[in-house]
Amino acid sequence: MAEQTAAAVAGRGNPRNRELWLLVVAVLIVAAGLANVDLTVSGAVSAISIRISITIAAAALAAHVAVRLRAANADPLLLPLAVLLTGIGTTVIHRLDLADELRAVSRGEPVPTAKAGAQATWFVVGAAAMALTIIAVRDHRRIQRYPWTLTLLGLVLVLAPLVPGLGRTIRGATLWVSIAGLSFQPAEVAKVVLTIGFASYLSRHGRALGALRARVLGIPFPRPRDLGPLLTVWALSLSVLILQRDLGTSLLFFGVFVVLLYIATEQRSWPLIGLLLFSAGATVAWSMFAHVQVRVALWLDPFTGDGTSQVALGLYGLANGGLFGAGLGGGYPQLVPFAESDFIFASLGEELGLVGCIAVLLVYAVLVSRGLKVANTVRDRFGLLLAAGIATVIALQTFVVLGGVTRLIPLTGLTTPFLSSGGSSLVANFIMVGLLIRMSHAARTPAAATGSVAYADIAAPRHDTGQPTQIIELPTAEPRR
Amino acid sequence: MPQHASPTLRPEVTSGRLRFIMLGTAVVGTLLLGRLTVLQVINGPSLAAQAKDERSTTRVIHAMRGTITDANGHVLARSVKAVDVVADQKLIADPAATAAALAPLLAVPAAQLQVSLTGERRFVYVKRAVDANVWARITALRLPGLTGYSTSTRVYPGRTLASNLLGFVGIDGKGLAGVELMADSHLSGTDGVARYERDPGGRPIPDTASRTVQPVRGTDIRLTIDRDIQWTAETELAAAVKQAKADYGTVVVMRPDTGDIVAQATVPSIDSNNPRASDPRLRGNRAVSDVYEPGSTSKMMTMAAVLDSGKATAVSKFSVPYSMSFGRRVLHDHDPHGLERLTLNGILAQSSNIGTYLAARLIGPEGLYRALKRFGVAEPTGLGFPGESRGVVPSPANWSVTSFPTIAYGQGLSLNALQAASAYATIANDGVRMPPRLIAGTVDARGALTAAARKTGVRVVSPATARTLRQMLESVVEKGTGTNAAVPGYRVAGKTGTASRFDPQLNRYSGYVASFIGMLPADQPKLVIAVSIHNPKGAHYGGVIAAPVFAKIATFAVQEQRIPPSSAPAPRIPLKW
Repeated sequence: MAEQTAAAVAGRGNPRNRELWLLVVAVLIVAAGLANVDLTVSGAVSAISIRISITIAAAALAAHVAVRLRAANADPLLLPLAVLLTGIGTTVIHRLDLADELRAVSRGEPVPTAKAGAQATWFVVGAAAMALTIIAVRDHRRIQRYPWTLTLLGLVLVLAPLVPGLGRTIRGATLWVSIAGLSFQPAEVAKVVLTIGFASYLSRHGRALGALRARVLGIPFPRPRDLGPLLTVWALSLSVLILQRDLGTSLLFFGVFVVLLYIATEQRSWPLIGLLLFSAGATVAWSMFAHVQVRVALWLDPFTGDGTSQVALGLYGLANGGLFGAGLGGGYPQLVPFAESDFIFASLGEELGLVGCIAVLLVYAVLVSRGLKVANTVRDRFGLLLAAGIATVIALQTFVVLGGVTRLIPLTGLTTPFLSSGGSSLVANFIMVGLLIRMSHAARTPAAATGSVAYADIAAPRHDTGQPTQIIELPTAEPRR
Repeated sequence: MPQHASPTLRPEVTSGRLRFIMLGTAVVGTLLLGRLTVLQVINGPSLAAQAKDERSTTRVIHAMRGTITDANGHVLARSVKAVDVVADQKLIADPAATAAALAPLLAVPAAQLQVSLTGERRFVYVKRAVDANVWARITALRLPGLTGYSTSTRVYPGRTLASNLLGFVGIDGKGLAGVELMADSHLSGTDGVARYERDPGGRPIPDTASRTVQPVRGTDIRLTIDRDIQWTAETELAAAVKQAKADYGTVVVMRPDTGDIVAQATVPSIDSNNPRASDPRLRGNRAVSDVYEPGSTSKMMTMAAVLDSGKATAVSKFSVPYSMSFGRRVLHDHDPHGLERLTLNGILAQSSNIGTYLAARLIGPEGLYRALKRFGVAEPTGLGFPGESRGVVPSPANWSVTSFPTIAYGQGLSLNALQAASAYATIANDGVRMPPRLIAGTVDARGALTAAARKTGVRVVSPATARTLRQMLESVVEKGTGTNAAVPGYRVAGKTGTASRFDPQLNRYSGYVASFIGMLPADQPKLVIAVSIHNPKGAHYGGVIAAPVFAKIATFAVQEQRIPPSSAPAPRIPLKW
């Protein structure tokens, strides 16, 4: 007992204590960053920075308490990593606010509304959503009951901006829904809903799709009729691309489905087919749509024309950062259009340099690996697919945005997870973290400790093809509530 | 401890598929890392330099233009700070409202402003050289899309005072006419350069001004002009030109010993503050740019040549008829008379054309021609004033049968008003012609004058000739055609002129040029004043309309310049025999 207590005090034994210490470190890093921005730009720490620091600290603490009460065994890294990323994003947004203010004052123009305070508020909402997820979803297996409903809901959400009078077209992409003056990106919510839907569907039907028929070039390929679901998602993704001109969302959904299909079936041909389908779709989109052609042209040569394309300006910013960066407040990140949303990584790279970029990349990498670890340890098939899906969403979205900003791939319009200014994205991402925490708790809680709780699929595969199940055991009967 | 104190590590079920996903994530992460390393470290410096080039631009900071003062340091032209108001049309959401707000401040119609505020252009001058106070009131309105660029504007406190002499500057602050153009290299100074970074819209990023080369202010110029004499000359001339309903008039006031131009008036004049509002024909300085046939004032030069040749004295006797025939043409004096017995002095005093020709015959055409050139007719004045015309005197080889008599009495040759004044200044300066001078020198920041280099004079006639001629010119004012030029207490020497005016548009003589050129005190002249009034309607004799202007200017100038009155009376040289 004494040893345990000592270990707990040292923050080692109890994962919640470790989480608390890590949160303290994350909040301190953010507060220092905000102060650094203020001191460089104006020489004094501003009230807004203090308010943001306190807001983030309080919301993080509240989220921590929720986790401590309802998911005590969960991975202690997940919440601090998400809080750290959000805080870094808010710091960069605050820095851009100051630049915009300085520019407006110097030109005698009205000072634009600061976005950092709103971002901090959205973090509070996100933390609340996460806590609510943890509290409401007492057992993650319960949410796999409605694969079709959720998938349909996801599609409705994705396509909602197309409803006349509801949607808002901003910069050529119809991604926004405006209700009573509040606008949000339903695709971000759809991301969560669809991932759950995909995981639910594939946990039931995945194995069936794994049956192989033909071998092409020595690679076993699925039966043509099993291609149905994939082709359906592919078609839906293409329609998102065509109807909403949103490359990023369409790529994200298709990518997640392909990855989950692969995990569910264990067949490597799926990623291959997915890649082929994606290439075909991308080629068609490129040949048909001017906005896609523009994106590709700017990817191949961002310095055409006057050299002031968004990509070019972002690259200039990154280059200006160099190895160690211009320092917070020392660069000109405000020169890049939409620096606080699409190009927040370029802003970060300019002021924190390669070192800062690597640090943030590592935070993402650890977050994704912890998500995959949840997938690996959770004892049910749905949990495996959901956790892997969430990790994939975060990884894929990060890659698509950062790849676009660094000109590794053509630029697409997605938010940078946790970093970008914007409420819908932040709330959706924290709901996903909440789901991961919930599953992590389940995975790390010994079966005996929870009494009669079964580590089995609540919805046991109904259309099992007869292949041996891999990990599922049924120690007790499935509880029906 | 509660049950979650030690989550037992179960043997983890490794999944190849998840490992594959993790591997994919690692690969993708490594790709990003590599890409960032290339961007930020390997290509970073050159790309950053390219970026800086992309957003760096230079802007010229106009140097403050030097001040122009009169001989006593009174400001005639100076530059004051001003602001160019520039619009970024893309940032102006409501051009109509912005225009309405700006119109009263800028004194520009709102409709006109709205045009320059509407559109897609990111840099449009709304109004240039706006007063700094007005700009302060504009910024107080906090209108989006407006930027002020500091510049300067030229102010001429005297408005029309000496405007034809001073000239004016263009919108870029460079001298376009007059002294502003003539001394532009001194006045303009050296522009500075501000190197700053701009955003993609082309506007400066705050706090990025670097490597600014500060402008060097232009040098101040001190003129030889006396502001008060200038003002008097302009006022008196304007009144006379108006009364005579003349086309225009000029006055030159010179100091004979130095060639310094004390005043130089041209009427009508312009307001140098707003030269574009004036008739382009009035923007020059007609005292140097316009030439005219001098008429009788030119007889002074003929007489000087005759006296200097030693072939006649002031009292040499001439029998002067009313008219003489030259080929098919008959030339005559202006008033009919019988055969008169006049001395050389009498010929000049009565301004007899025939008598002047008779005297000129003593030196011949070559002698007359050489004398005119030595007096500076059809020669550059050496002033360097922009737009100077030097006039014409044909060489004797090209003379017609009437050329000798007409050139002798002042027709058939042309000169400008400054040349005419300079010729009389030669006589006033005992026969040495000093090149006219307008710029006394440059003044440094501490107010110390660096005098402009003086040019050496040219001896035209002997001192004795000059003295005799001055006495003869006194007779003109005492008893001849120039009595209206008299200044009480001072001996005045001078000559009237009533020349036929050659009209270049009609290509024939039409109207007159009435003039009077005089000097005082005649025994030791301090000032030469040349008045010419072009194309008067009604009275047209120089002695009637030009001589009184001389008297008024001279009366003021001798007091202002504290020139003592003459003590000895004028010598009396007989007019007749």
